Amino acid sequence: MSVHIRRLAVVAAPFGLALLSYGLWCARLHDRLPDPVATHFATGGGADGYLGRQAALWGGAAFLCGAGVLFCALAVRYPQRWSIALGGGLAALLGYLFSLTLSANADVTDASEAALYLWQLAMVLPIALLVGLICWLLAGPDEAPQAEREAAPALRLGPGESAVWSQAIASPVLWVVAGLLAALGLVLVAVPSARPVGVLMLLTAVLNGLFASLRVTVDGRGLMIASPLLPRPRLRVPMRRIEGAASREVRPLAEFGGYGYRVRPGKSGVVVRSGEALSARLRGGKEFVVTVDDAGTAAALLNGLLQRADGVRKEHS
Amino acid sequence: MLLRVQPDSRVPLGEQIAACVRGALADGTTLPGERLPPAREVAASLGVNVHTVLRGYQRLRDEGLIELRRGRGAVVRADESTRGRARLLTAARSLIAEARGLGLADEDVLSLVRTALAAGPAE
Repeated sequence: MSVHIRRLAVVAAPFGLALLSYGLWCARLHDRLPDPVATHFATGGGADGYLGRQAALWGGAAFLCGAGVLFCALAVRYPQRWSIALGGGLAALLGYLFSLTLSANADVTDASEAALYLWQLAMVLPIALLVGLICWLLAGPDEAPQAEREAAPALRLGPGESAVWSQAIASPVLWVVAGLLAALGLVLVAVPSARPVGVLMLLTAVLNGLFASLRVTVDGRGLMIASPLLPRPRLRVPMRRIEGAASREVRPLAEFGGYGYRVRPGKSGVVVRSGEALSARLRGGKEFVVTVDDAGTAAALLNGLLQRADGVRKEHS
Repeated sequence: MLLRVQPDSRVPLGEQIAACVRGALADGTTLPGERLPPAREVAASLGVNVHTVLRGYQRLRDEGLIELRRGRGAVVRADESTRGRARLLTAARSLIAEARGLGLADEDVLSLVRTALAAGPAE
C-alpha cells in the first residue's frame, strides 16, 4: 500500500468513525430531543442559541461530511503529515462536540432547559489531541523532498564579457489573495464599527499586490529579487555565497507549506507558484530557490560566472 | 532574458544588447507583451552606461519590436507578428554579416536582395 493511500485512509477513518458514532447517537436520542434543540451555550452553561431539530441533526452530519471531504481532498493533493494529524484531531473534536450537544438536549421538555457546562468540554481537547497524535504516528514521516535537480550546464563566458539574466515573475495566488482582501476590506470600511479592520485589510491587500509581481536578476554580483514597483525591500544572494545552480520543479505547499518568502530547515526561497524554479546551492549546504520561468538559463549563467571566477582564481594562485 | 556584452568587440555595446533581445524574441524565450528589464538595472548589472542600454532599446523600437513609454518602460509589442519580425531582422543581420565577410559593398548587398526579389515568389 503506497504512503499516499495509507495517509488517505488514516485521515478518512476518523471522519468515518465520527460520522458513524454521531449517526448512532442521533438515532438513539432522536425521540428524546426537544424541537428546536439548543445548539449554542453561554459560558455559564445556559442555552442561548437554537436550531430546528432536523436542521440541527442533518447540519451536524453535513458539517462532518464537508470537513471529511475537505481533508481527504487535501490528503490526495498534499499528503502532508501535519494535515493528516490535523484532520484526525478535527474529526474527533467535531464528533465529540456534536454528540455532547445532543446529550445536553436529551430528555428536556424545552430546549431552554438544556445546559452544557465548560467542565464537560474538558475532555474534548485531550481526545482531539490524542486522535491527532495517533493519526500523526500512523501517517509516518514525510518523504524526504526529492533533491534531484536538472544539472545545469555552465554558460561559457569570455574573459571580459559581462552578462545579465532578468525575468519577471507573477503570482496568480498572490493576485487572487490581494483581490479578495481588497474587496473584503472595501466592504468592511463601509461599516463604521469594522473600519479599522477594513483599513488593515486594504493595507494587506496592497502589500500582497506589491509582491504579486517580482523581477529576478542574475548578474556578476549574484542573484537579486525585487519588486518592479519599489526599490525596497529586495532580496540579494551575493555571488560569494553561491556554490552552484540548477533548475528544478517546486511544489509550494508540499515543500514550503505555502506561498511567498519561505524559510524551511535547509532551504529558503521566494515561492509564488508551483513549477520551474531556479535553485542555488549555497555555501554551508543550504538551498535557495525562486520560482521563475527560464530558470535553466539563469542557472547556466550563474554556473558560468562561478566557473570563470574559479578559473581566474586558479590563474592568480 | 539573457543579455551578454563583449566590451572588446567591434560591435557597439548598444547593438549587442539589441541583438540579445532580438534573439530572445526570435526563439520565443521572450514573448509579446513582456516587459524588458529597466535600462537602469541592465546598465548596473552589465557595468555599462545607462544611455548605452537605452540606445539598444531605441534601436529595437525603431525596428518595431518594442514600445518605449515614459513610466512604463520597455515592453515587447503585443503583436502576433513580433516573433516573425525578430526572426526576419536576425536573418537580415546574418545576411549582412555574410556579405561583409565576402567584402561586398552596401550597394552590392542591396542589388543582390533586389535581384532575389525580382526572381519572384520564394518557395
